[in-house]
Amino acid sequence: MISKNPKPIIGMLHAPALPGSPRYEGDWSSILSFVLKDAETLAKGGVDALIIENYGDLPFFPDKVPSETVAHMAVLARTVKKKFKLPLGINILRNDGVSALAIAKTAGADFVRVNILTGARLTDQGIIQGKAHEVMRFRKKIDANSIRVFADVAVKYSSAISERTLEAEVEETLHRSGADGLIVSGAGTGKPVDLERLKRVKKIASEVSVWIGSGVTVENIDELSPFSDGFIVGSSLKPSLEAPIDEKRVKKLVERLHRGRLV
Amino acid sequence: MIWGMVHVGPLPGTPHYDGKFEKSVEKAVTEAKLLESLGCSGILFENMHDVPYLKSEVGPEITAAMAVIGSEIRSEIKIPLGVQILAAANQAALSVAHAVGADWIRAEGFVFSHIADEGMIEACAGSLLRFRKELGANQIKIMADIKKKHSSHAITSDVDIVETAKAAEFFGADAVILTGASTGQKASVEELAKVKKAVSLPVLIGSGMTPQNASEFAQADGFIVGSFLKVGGDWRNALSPDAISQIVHSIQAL
Repeated sequence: MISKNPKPIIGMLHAPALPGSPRYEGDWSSILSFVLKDAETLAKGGVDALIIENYGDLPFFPDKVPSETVAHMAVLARTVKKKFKLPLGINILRNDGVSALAIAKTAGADFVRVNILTGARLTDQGIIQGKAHEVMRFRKKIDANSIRVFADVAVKYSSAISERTLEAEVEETLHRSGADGLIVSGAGTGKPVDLERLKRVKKIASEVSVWIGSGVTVENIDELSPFSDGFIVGSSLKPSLEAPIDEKRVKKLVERLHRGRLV
Repeated sequence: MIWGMVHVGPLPGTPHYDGKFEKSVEKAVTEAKLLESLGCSGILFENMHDVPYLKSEVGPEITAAMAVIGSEIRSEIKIPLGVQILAAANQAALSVAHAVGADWIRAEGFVFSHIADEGMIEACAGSLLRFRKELGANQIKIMADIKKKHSSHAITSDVDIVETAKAAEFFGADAVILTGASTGQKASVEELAKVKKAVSLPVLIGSGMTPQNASEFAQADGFIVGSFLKVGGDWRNALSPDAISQIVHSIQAL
Protein backbone atom coordinates (compact mmCIF):
# COMPACT_ATOMS: atom_id res chain seq x y z
CA MET A 1 0.00 0.00 0.00
CA ILE A 2 1.47 3.34 -0.97
CA SER A 3 -0.84 5.61 0.99
CA LYS A 4 -2.94 5.51 4.15
CA ASN A 5 -6.01 5.49 1.96
CA PRO A 6 -6.86 1.91 0.94
CA LYS A 7 -8.00 3.05 -2.51
CA PRO A 8 -5.78 5.97 -3.40
CA ILE A 9 -6.47 8.48 -6.12
CA ILE A 10 -3.11 9.02 -7.82
CA GLY A 11 -2.99 12.35 -9.63
CA MET A 12 -1.05 12.39 -12.89
CA LEU A 13 1.53 15.09 -13.57
CA HIS A 14 2.08 15.23 -17.31
CA ALA A 15 5.44 17.00 -17.74
CA PRO A 16 5.46 19.25 -20.82
CA ALA A 17 8.12 18.55 -23.50
CA LEU A 18 11.53 18.46 -21.81
CA PRO A 19 14.87 19.82 -23.12
CA GLY A 20 16.21 17.73 -25.98
CA SER A 21 12.77 16.52 -27.11
CA PRO A 22 11.18 17.74 -30.37
CA ARG A 23 8.39 19.83 -28.85
CA TYR A 24 10.51 21.55 -26.19
CA GLU A 25 9.79 25.26 -26.32
CA GLY A 26 13.01 26.56 -24.77
CA ASP A 27 11.91 27.56 -21.29
CA TRP A 28 12.84 24.93 -18.72
CA SER A 29 11.89 27.02 -15.70
CA SER A 30 8.34 27.42 -17.00
CA ILE A 31 8.07 23.60 -17.17
CA LEU A 32 9.09 23.36 -13.55
CA SER A 33 6.48 25.97 -12.59
CA PHE A 34 3.78 24.24 -14.66
CA VAL A 35 4.40 20.89 -12.97
CA LEU A 36 4.54 22.44 -9.50
CA LYS A 37 1.26 24.26 -10.13
CA ASP A 38 -0.43 21.03 -11.23
CA ALA A 39 0.97 19.25 -8.18
CA GLU A 40 -0.38 21.99 -5.94
CA THR A 41 -3.82 21.78 -7.57
CA LEU A 42 -3.89 18.01 -7.12
CA ALA A 43 -2.73 18.24 -3.51
CA LYS A 44 -5.30 20.93 -2.68
CA GLY A 45 -7.98 18.90 -4.42
CA GLY A 46 -7.27 16.04 -2.04
CA VAL A 47 -5.55 13.31 -4.09
CA ASP A 48 -3.72 10.64 -2.08
CA ALA A 49 -0.60 10.37 -4.24
CA LEU A 50 1.06 11.76 -7.36
CA ILE A 51 2.75 10.23 -10.38
CA ILE A 52 4.89 12.12 -12.86
CA GLU A 53 5.65 11.13 -16.43
CA ASN A 54 7.52 12.68 -19.37
CA TYR A 55 4.33 12.85 -21.39
CA GLY A 56 5.42 15.79 -23.54
CA ASP A 57 8.47 13.99 -24.95
CA LEU A 58 6.63 12.61 -27.98
CA PRO A 59 7.62 10.64 -29.96
CA PHE A 60 8.92 8.42 -27.15
CA PHE A 61 12.07 6.33 -27.11
CA PRO A 62 11.00 2.66 -26.92
CA ASP A 63 13.51 1.88 -24.17
CA LYS A 64 16.46 3.81 -22.72
CA VAL A 65 16.04 7.59 -22.53
CA PRO A 66 19.04 9.95 -22.77
CA SER A 67 20.75 11.70 -19.85
CA GLU A 68 18.89 15.00 -20.34
CA THR A 69 15.54 13.28 -19.74
CA VAL A 70 16.86 11.60 -16.60
CA ALA A 71 18.37 14.83 -15.19
CA HIS A 72 15.31 17.00 -15.82
CA MET A 73 12.84 14.40 -14.56
CA ALA A 74 14.98 13.91 -11.45
CA VAL A 75 14.83 17.63 -10.67
CA LEU A 76 11.06 17.74 -11.29
CA ALA A 77 10.45 14.69 -9.10
CA ARG A 78 12.68 15.87 -6.28
CA THR A 79 11.11 19.33 -6.25
CA VAL A 80 7.57 17.90 -6.21
CA LYS A 81 8.40 15.39 -3.48
CA LYS A 82 10.09 18.00 -1.31
CA LYS A 83 7.23 20.45 -1.59
CA PHE A 84 4.20 18.20 -1.27
CA LYS A 85 5.36 15.13 0.71
CA LEU A 86 2.72 12.95 -1.00
CA PRO A 87 3.60 9.42 -2.14
CA LEU A 88 5.13 9.85 -5.59
CA GLY A 89 5.50 7.60 -8.60
CA ILE A 90 7.70 7.88 -11.68
CA ASN A 91 6.95 6.71 -15.21
CA ILE A 92 9.59 7.18 -17.90
CA LEU A 93 7.92 6.67 -21.25
CA ARG A 94 7.85 4.60 -23.11
CA ASN A 95 9.41 1.79 -21.16
CA ASP A 96 12.53 2.85 -19.25
CA GLY A 97 11.93 1.20 -15.89
CA VAL A 98 15.64 1.42 -15.05
CA SER A 99 15.77 5.22 -15.39
CA ALA A 100 12.44 5.49 -13.55
CA LEU A 101 13.96 3.57 -10.61
CA ALA A 102 17.12 5.70 -10.69
CA ILE A 103 14.99 8.85 -10.48
CA ALA A 104 12.67 7.39 -7.83
CA LYS A 105 15.60 6.36 -5.65
CA THR A 106 17.37 9.72 -5.76
CA ALA A 107 14.27 11.92 -5.69
CA GLY A 108 12.86 10.02 -2.71
CA ALA A 109 9.84 8.72 -4.64
CA ASP A 110 7.84 5.65 -3.69
CA PHE A 111 6.93 3.66 -6.79
CA VAL A 112 7.48 3.38 -10.52
CA ARG A 113 5.15 2.41 -13.34
CA VAL A 114 6.52 0.14 -16.05
CA ASN A 115 4.39 -0.19 -19.17
CA ILE A 116 5.84 -3.49 -20.41
CA LEU A 117 7.66 -5.38 -17.69
CA THR A 118 7.57 -8.81 -19.26
CA GLY A 119 6.78 -10.43 -22.60
CA ALA A 120 6.80 -8.39 -25.81
CA ARG A 121 4.20 -6.13 -27.37
CA LEU A 122 3.73 -4.28 -30.61
CA THR A 123 3.48 -0.61 -29.71
CA ASP A 124 3.51 2.75 -31.46
CA GLN A 125 7.30 2.72 -30.77
CA GLY A 126 7.76 -0.67 -32.44
CA ILE A 127 8.26 -4.01 -30.72
CA ILE A 128 9.05 -3.48 -27.05
CA GLN A 129 10.42 -6.31 -25.00
CA GLY A 130 9.94 -6.51 -21.28
CA LYS A 131 13.12 -6.08 -19.25
CA ALA A 132 12.06 -7.42 -15.87
CA HIS A 133 15.46 -9.09 -15.57
CA GLU A 134 17.24 -5.73 -15.82
CA VAL A 135 14.71 -3.68 -13.87
CA MET A 136 14.72 -6.00 -10.87
CA ARG A 137 18.50 -6.46 -10.79
CA PHE A 138 18.97 -2.71 -11.11
CA ARG A 139 16.54 -2.09 -8.26
CA LYS A 140 18.64 -4.30 -6.03
CA LYS A 141 21.94 -2.82 -7.27
CA ILE A 142 20.95 0.75 -6.38
CA ASP A 143 19.54 -0.24 -2.99
CA ALA A 144 15.98 0.58 -4.03
CA ASN A 145 14.07 -2.55 -3.05
CA SER A 146 11.61 -0.46 -1.06
CA ILE A 147 10.44 1.24 -4.26
CA ARG A 148 7.35 -0.57 -5.55
CA VAL A 149 7.13 -1.60 -9.19
CA PHE A 150 3.65 -1.33 -10.71
CA ALA A 151 3.38 -3.00 -14.09
CA ASP A 152 0.72 -2.60 -16.74
CA VAL A 153 -1.10 -5.69 -17.93
CA ALA A 154 -1.55 -5.44 -21.72
CA VAL A 155 -0.84 -1.71 -21.70
CA LYS A 156 -2.67 0.94 -23.72
CA TYR A 157 -1.30 1.90 -27.18
CA SER A 158 -0.09 -1.64 -27.82
CA SER A 159 -1.25 -5.01 -29.00
CA ALA A 160 -0.18 -8.55 -28.27
CA ILE A 161 2.18 -10.13 -30.77
CA SER A 162 0.57 -13.45 -30.09
CA GLU A 163 -2.55 -13.71 -28.02
CA ARG A 164 -2.15 -15.29 -24.58
CA THR A 165 -4.49 -15.75 -21.71
CA LEU A 166 -4.89 -12.97 -19.21
CA GLU A 167 -4.21 -15.54 -16.49
CA ALA A 168 -0.78 -16.31 -17.94
CA GLU A 169 0.12 -12.64 -18.34
CA VAL A 170 -0.86 -11.76 -14.80
CA GLU A 171 0.90 -14.78 -13.38
CA GLU A 172 4.15 -13.97 -15.23
CA THR A 173 4.08 -10.26 -14.44
CA LEU A 174 3.65 -10.96 -10.75
CA HIS A 175 5.44 -14.19 -10.00
CA ARG A 176 8.12 -14.55 -12.62
CA SER A 177 8.86 -10.82 -13.04
CA GLY A 178 8.36 -9.60 -9.50
CA ALA A 179 5.87 -6.77 -9.98
CA ASP A 180 4.45 -5.47 -6.70
CA GLY A 181 1.17 -4.35 -8.22
CA LEU A 182 -0.70 -4.22 -11.50
CA ILE A 183 -2.23 -1.52 -13.66
CA VAL A 184 -5.13 -2.07 -16.04
CA SER A 185 -5.86 0.55 -18.67
CA GLY A 186 -8.11 1.12 -21.68
CA ALA A 187 -6.99 1.47 -25.29
CA GLY A 188 -5.40 4.91 -24.85
CA THR A 189 -4.97 7.96 -22.65
CA GLY A 190 -8.36 8.87 -21.21
CA LYS A 191 -9.99 5.70 -22.57
CA PRO A 192 -12.06 3.68 -20.06
CA VAL A 193 -11.02 0.20 -18.98
CA ASP A 194 -13.01 -2.83 -19.94
CA LEU A 195 -14.90 -3.68 -16.76
CA GLU A 196 -14.94 -7.42 -17.45
CA ARG A 197 -11.16 -7.45 -17.99
CA LEU A 198 -10.61 -5.47 -14.80
CA LYS A 199 -12.74 -7.94 -12.83
CA ARG A 200 -10.78 -10.89 -14.20
CA VAL A 201 -7.40 -9.32 -13.37
CA LYS A 202 -8.56 -8.48 -9.86
CA LYS A 203 -9.80 -12.04 -9.41
CA ILE A 204 -6.53 -13.63 -10.60
CA ALA A 205 -4.34 -11.15 -8.74
CA SER A 206 -6.34 -10.90 -5.55
CA GLU A 207 -3.21 -10.67 -3.35
CA VAL A 208 -1.80 -7.46 -4.86
CA SER A 209 -3.04 -3.94 -5.60
CA VAL A 210 -4.68 -3.53 -8.97
CA TRP A 211 -4.88 0.08 -10.13
CA ILE A 212 -6.78 1.55 -13.04
CA GLY A 213 -4.46 3.43 -15.39
CA SER A 214 -6.77 5.31 -17.71
CA GLY A 215 -10.28 6.62 -18.24
CA VAL A 216 -11.38 7.10 -14.62
CA THR A 217 -14.08 9.79 -14.39
CA VAL A 218 -16.60 11.11 -11.88
CA GLU A 219 -19.22 9.18 -13.85
CA ASN A 220 -17.59 5.74 -13.75
CA ILE A 221 -15.56 5.68 -10.51
CA ASP A 222 -18.47 4.19 -8.52
CA GLU A 223 -18.81 1.33 -10.95
CA LEU A 224 -15.03 0.67 -11.05
CA SER A 225 -14.27 1.11 -7.39
CA PRO A 226 -15.31 -2.36 -6.11
CA PHE A 227 -12.81 -4.02 -8.47
CA SER A 228 -9.86 -1.70 -8.05
CA ASP A 229 -7.36 -0.67 -5.38
CA GLY A 230 -6.34 2.68 -6.81
CA PHE A 231 -6.95 5.13 -9.62
CA ILE A 232 -4.34 6.92 -11.72
CA VAL A 233 -6.18 9.97 -12.97
CA GLY A 234 -4.96 12.54 -15.46
CA SER A 235 -6.93 13.55 -18.53
CA SER A 236 -10.36 13.69 -16.86
CA LEU A 237 -9.03 16.34 -14.45
CA LYS A 238 -8.37 18.89 -17.16
CA PRO A 239 -10.24 20.37 -20.11
CA SER A 240 -7.55 19.26 -22.60
CA LEU A 241 -4.33 17.21 -22.33
CA GLU A 242 -2.05 20.26 -22.48
CA ALA A 243 -4.14 22.37 -20.10
CA PRO A 244 -3.38 22.77 -16.40
CA ILE A 245 -5.31 20.57 -13.98
CA ASP A 246 -8.63 21.99 -12.83
CA GLU A 247 -9.05 21.95 -9.05
CA LYS A 248 -12.85 21.72 -9.23
CA ARG A 249 -12.61 18.53 -11.25
CA VAL A 250 -10.17 17.04 -8.74
CA LYS A 251 -12.44 17.88 -5.80
CA LYS A 252 -15.48 16.43 -7.55
CA LEU A 253 -13.70 13.15 -8.20
CA VAL A 254 -12.27 12.89 -4.69
CA GLU A 255 -15.68 13.67 -3.13
CA ARG A 256 -17.40 11.18 -5.40
CA LEU A 257 -15.04 8.41 -4.32
CA HIS A 258 -15.28 9.32 -0.63
CA ARG A 259 -19.05 9.37 -0.80
CA GLY A 260 -18.91 5.90 -2.33
CA ARG A 261 -16.84 4.71 0.62
CA LEU A 262 -19.35 5.95 3.18
CA VAL A 263 -22.28 4.14 1.58
CA MET B 1 37.69 33.15 -9.01
CA ILE B 2 38.10 30.48 -6.34
CA TRP B 3 36.18 27.29 -7.05
CA GLY B 4 35.65 25.17 -3.94
CA MET B 5 35.18 21.47 -4.61
CA VAL B 6 32.37 19.39 -3.16
CA HIS B 7 33.25 15.71 -3.48
CA VAL B 8 29.87 13.95 -3.34
CA GLY B 9 29.01 10.36 -3.01
CA PRO B 10 29.62 7.44 -3.01
CA LEU B 11 26.43 7.29 -5.08
CA PRO B 12 23.94 4.37 -5.31
CA GLY B 13 25.20 1.49 -7.41
CA THR B 14 28.90 2.31 -6.98
CA PRO B 15 31.33 0.03 -5.12
CA HIS B 16 31.68 2.19 -1.99
CA TYR B 17 28.01 3.15 -1.66
CA ASP B 18 27.00 2.89 2.00
CA GLY B 19 23.21 2.89 1.70
CA LYS B 20 22.87 6.49 2.83
CA PHE B 21 22.08 8.60 -0.20
CA GLU B 22 20.11 11.26 1.70
CA LYS B 23 23.07 11.72 4.04
CA SER B 24 25.29 12.39 1.03
CA VAL B 25 22.82 14.99 -0.24
CA GLU B 26 22.77 16.72 3.10
CA LYS B 27 26.55 16.65 3.41
CA ALA B 28 27.06 18.09 -0.07
CA VAL B 29 24.70 20.98 0.69
CA THR B 30 26.33 21.67 4.07
CA GLU B 31 29.78 21.69 2.47
CA ALA B 32 28.72 23.99 -0.35
CA LYS B 33 27.22 26.46 2.14
CA LEU B 34 30.34 26.41 4.28
CA LEU B 35 32.60 27.01 1.27
CA GLU B 36 30.42 29.92 0.16
CA SER B 37 30.37 31.44 3.63
CA LEU B 38 34.16 31.24 3.91
CA GLY B 39 34.78 33.12 0.69
CA CYS B 40 34.82 30.69 -2.24
CA SER B 41 33.40 32.40 -5.33
CA GLY B 42 32.11 29.25 -7.02
CA ILE B 43 31.19 25.66 -6.12
CA LEU B 44 32.19 22.71 -8.29
CA PHE B 45 30.63 19.37 -7.33
CA GLU B 46 31.80 15.99 -8.59
CA ASN B 47 31.20 12.29 -7.92
CA MET B 48 34.75 11.76 -6.66
CA HIS B 49 33.86 8.86 -4.34
CA ASP B 50 32.49 6.73 -7.18
CA VAL B 51 35.89 5.07 -7.75
CA PRO B 52 36.71 3.20 -9.90
CA TYR B 53 35.10 5.47 -12.51
CA LEU B 54 33.18 4.45 -15.58
CA LYS B 55 34.52 5.82 -18.82
CA SER B 56 32.54 8.55 -20.62
CA GLU B 57 29.08 7.13 -19.89
CA VAL B 58 27.43 6.70 -16.52
CA GLY B 59 24.13 5.01 -15.67
CA PRO B 60 20.89 6.90 -15.00
CA GLU B 61 21.41 6.44 -11.25
CA ILE B 62 24.47 8.73 -11.39
CA THR B 63 22.82 11.31 -13.63
CA ALA B 64 19.72 11.36 -11.42
CA ALA B 65 21.74 11.48 -8.19
CA MET B 66 23.93 14.33 -9.42
CA ALA B 67 20.83 16.22 -10.63
CA VAL B 68 19.17 15.85 -7.24
CA ILE B 69 22.30 16.92 -5.36
CA GLY B 70 22.92 19.81 -7.74
CA SER B 71 19.37 21.02 -7.40
CA GLU B 72 19.61 20.97 -3.60
CA ILE B 73 22.94 22.84 -3.66
CA ARG B 74 21.61 25.37 -6.19
CA SER B 75 18.70 26.28 -3.95
CA GLU B 76 21.04 26.99 -1.00
CA ILE B 77 23.88 29.01 -2.53
CA LYS B 78 24.05 32.19 -4.61
CA ILE B 79 27.53 31.88 -6.19
CA PRO B 80 28.16 30.18 -9.58
CA LEU B 81 27.80 26.40 -9.66
CA GLY B 82 29.75 23.90 -11.75
CA VAL B 83 29.45 20.14 -12.21
CA GLN B 84 31.82 17.39 -13.24
CA ILE B 85 30.81 13.76 -13.72
CA LEU B 86 33.72 11.34 -13.64
CA ALA B 87 35.13 10.08 -15.82
CA ALA B 88 34.63 12.30 -18.84
CA ALA B 89 30.84 11.84 -18.68
CA ASN B 90 30.55 15.31 -20.13
CA GLN B 91 27.14 15.01 -21.79
CA ALA B 92 25.59 13.76 -18.57
CA ALA B 93 27.26 16.69 -16.78
CA LEU B 94 25.71 19.14 -19.25
CA SER B 95 22.29 17.54 -18.77
CA VAL B 96 22.65 17.89 -15.02
CA ALA B 97 23.96 21.45 -15.28
CA HIS B 98 20.98 22.50 -17.37
CA ALA B 99 18.45 20.76 -15.17
CA VAL B 100 19.76 22.32 -11.95
CA GLY B 101 20.58 25.77 -13.31
CA ALA B 102 24.36 25.42 -12.99
CA ASP B 103 26.74 27.73 -14.83
CA TRP B 104 29.73 25.57 -15.77
CA ILE B 105 30.82 22.02 -16.42
CA ARG B 106 34.36 20.77 -16.07
CA ALA B 107 35.14 18.54 -19.05
CA GLU B 108 37.92 15.99 -19.34
CA GLY B 109 39.06 14.94 -22.80
CA PHE B 110 37.77 18.02 -24.63
CA VAL B 111 40.48 18.00 -27.30
CA PHE B 112 43.04 15.37 -28.38
CA SER B 113 43.20 12.03 -26.59
CA HIS B 114 44.98 10.60 -23.60
CA ILE B 115 45.24 7.39 -21.63
CA ALA B 116 43.56 7.91 -18.28
CA ASP B 117 43.33 5.39 -15.46
CA GLU B 118 39.91 4.54 -16.91
CA GLY B 119 41.42 3.78 -20.32
CA MET B 120 41.57 5.75 -23.53
CA ILE B 121 39.70 9.06 -23.40
CA GLU B 122 39.01 10.73 -26.72
CA ALA B 123 38.18 14.29 -27.68
CA CYS B 124 34.52 15.18 -27.24
CA ALA B 125 34.26 18.84 -28.27
CA GLY B 126 32.40 18.15 -31.52
CA SER B 127 29.61 16.06 -30.04
CA LEU B 128 29.53 17.96 -26.75
CA LEU B 129 28.93 21.39 -28.28
CA ARG B 130 26.31 20.00 -30.65
CA PHE B 131 24.58 18.41 -27.68
CA ARG B 132 24.75 21.70 -25.76
CA LYS B 133 23.09 23.50 -28.65
CA GLU B 134 20.34 20.83 -28.95
CA LEU B 135 19.57 21.21 -25.27
CA GLY B 136 19.30 24.97 -25.60
CA ALA B 137 22.09 25.19 -23.04
CA ASN B 138 24.61 27.45 -24.75
CA GLN B 139 24.74 29.66 -21.66
CA ILE B 140 26.48 26.82 -19.77
CA LYS B 141 30.23 27.26 -20.02
CA ILE B 142 32.87 24.59 -20.37
CA MET B 143 36.15 24.57 -18.47
CA ALA B 144 38.35 22.06 -20.24
CA ASP B 145 41.20 20.12 -18.70
CA ILE B 146 44.22 19.98 -20.97
CA LYS B 147 46.97 17.38 -20.48
CA LYS B 148 45.00 16.34 -17.44
CA LYS B 149 46.23 14.77 -14.21
CA HIS B 150 45.97 10.98 -13.65
CA SER B 151 46.77 10.41 -17.30
CA SER B 152 49.47 9.43 -19.75
CA HIS B 153 50.01 11.87 -22.60
CA ALA B 154 52.66 9.89 -24.48
CA ILE B 155 50.40 9.60 -27.53
CA THR B 156 50.39 13.39 -27.85
CA SER B 157 54.02 13.90 -26.86
CA ASP B 158 54.59 15.86 -30.08
CA VAL B 159 51.82 18.31 -29.12
CA ASP B 160 52.82 20.58 -26.28
CA ILE B 161 50.59 22.22 -23.68
CA VAL B 162 50.46 25.47 -25.65
CA GLU B 163 49.22 23.74 -28.81
CA THR B 164 46.70 21.84 -26.73
CA ALA B 165 45.42 25.06 -25.13
CA LYS B 166 45.13 26.70 -28.56
CA ALA B 167 43.17 23.70 -29.85
CA ALA B 168 40.79 23.92 -26.88
CA GLU B 169 40.26 27.61 -27.59
CA PHE B 170 39.69 26.94 -31.30
CA PHE B 171 37.17 24.19 -30.44
CA GLY B 172 35.14 26.49 -28.22
CA ALA B 173 36.19 25.91 -24.61
CA ASP B 174 35.35 28.81 -22.28
CA ALA B 175 38.37 28.25 -20.02
CA VAL B 176 41.29 25.82 -19.81
CA ILE B 177 42.54 24.05 -16.71
CA LEU B 178 46.15 23.18 -15.89
CA THR B 179 46.84 20.44 -13.33
CA GLY B 180 49.75 18.61 -11.74
CA ALA B 181 50.32 14.88 -12.08
CA SER B 182 47.48 13.90 -9.74
CA THR B 183 44.94 15.18 -7.20
CA GLY B 184 46.73 17.47 -4.78
CA GLN B 185 49.83 17.86 -7.01
CA LYS B 186 50.63 21.39 -8.17
CA ALA B 187 50.65 22.55 -11.79
CA SER B 188 53.74 23.87 -13.56
CA VAL B 189 54.41 27.59 -13.21
CA GLU B 190 56.28 27.61 -16.53
CA GLU B 191 53.35 26.02 -18.35
CA LEU B 192 51.01 28.60 -16.87
CA ALA B 193 53.16 31.44 -18.21
CA LYS B 194 53.33 29.88 -21.68
CA VAL B 195 49.61 29.11 -21.89
CA LYS B 196 48.62 32.55 -20.63
CA LYS B 197 50.67 34.08 -23.41
CA ALA B 198 49.21 31.80 -26.09
CA VAL B 199 45.45 31.97 -25.52
CA SER B 200 42.96 34.64 -24.56
CA LEU B 201 40.79 32.24 -22.54
CA PRO B 202 40.80 32.28 -18.75
CA VAL B 203 43.41 29.83 -17.46
CA LEU B 204 42.55 27.98 -14.26
CA ILE B 205 44.77 26.02 -11.92
CA GLY B 206 43.07 22.71 -11.22
CA SER B 207 45.14 21.01 -8.56
CA GLY B 208 47.70 21.37 -5.81
CA MET B 209 46.99 24.93 -4.63
CA THR B 210 48.29 25.74 -1.13
CA PRO B 211 48.79 29.03 0.74
CA GLN B 212 52.55 28.49 0.31
CA ASN B 213 52.56 28.16 -3.46
CA ALA B 214 49.67 30.53 -4.27
CA SER B 215 51.96 33.45 -5.08
CA GLU B 216 53.64 31.44 -7.86
CA PHE B 217 50.31 31.25 -9.70
CA ALA B 218 49.34 34.93 -9.51
CA GLN B 219 48.96 35.01 -13.30
CA ALA B 220 46.14 32.47 -13.30
CA ASP B 221 42.52 33.63 -13.75
CA GLY B 222 40.99 31.14 -11.39
CA PHE B 223 41.70 28.32 -8.98
CA ILE B 224 39.97 25.04 -8.28
CA VAL B 225 40.73 23.95 -4.75
CA GLY B 226 39.81 20.57 -3.31
CA SER B 227 42.32 18.57 -1.30
CA PHE B 228 43.71 21.53 0.62
CA LEU B 229 40.24 22.37 1.98
CA LYS B 230 40.12 19.09 3.81
CA VAL B 231 41.51 17.97 7.13
CA GLY B 232 45.09 16.84 6.56
CA GLY B 233 44.95 17.91 2.90
CA ASP B 234 43.29 14.59 1.93
CA TRP B 235 40.21 14.85 -0.31
CA ARG B 236 38.56 11.94 1.50
CA ASN B 237 38.39 13.86 4.77
CA ALA B 238 35.94 16.42 6.14
CA LEU B 239 36.27 20.12 5.30
CA SER B 240 38.57 22.12 7.55
CA PRO B 241 37.24 25.68 8.07
CA ASP B 242 40.77 26.85 9.00
CA ALA B 243 42.27 25.48 5.81
CA ILE B 244 39.46 26.99 3.72
CA SER B 245 40.06 30.44 5.22
CA GLN B 246 43.81 30.14 4.76
CA ILE B 247 43.70 29.22 1.11
CA VAL B 248 40.95 31.72 0.31
CA HIS B 249 42.92 34.55 1.94
CA SER B 250 46.17 33.66 0.26
CA ILE B 251 44.50 33.57 -3.17
CA GLN B 252 42.57 36.78 -2.52
CA ALA B 253 45.86 38.47 -1.60
CA LEU B 254 47.28 37.84 -5.09
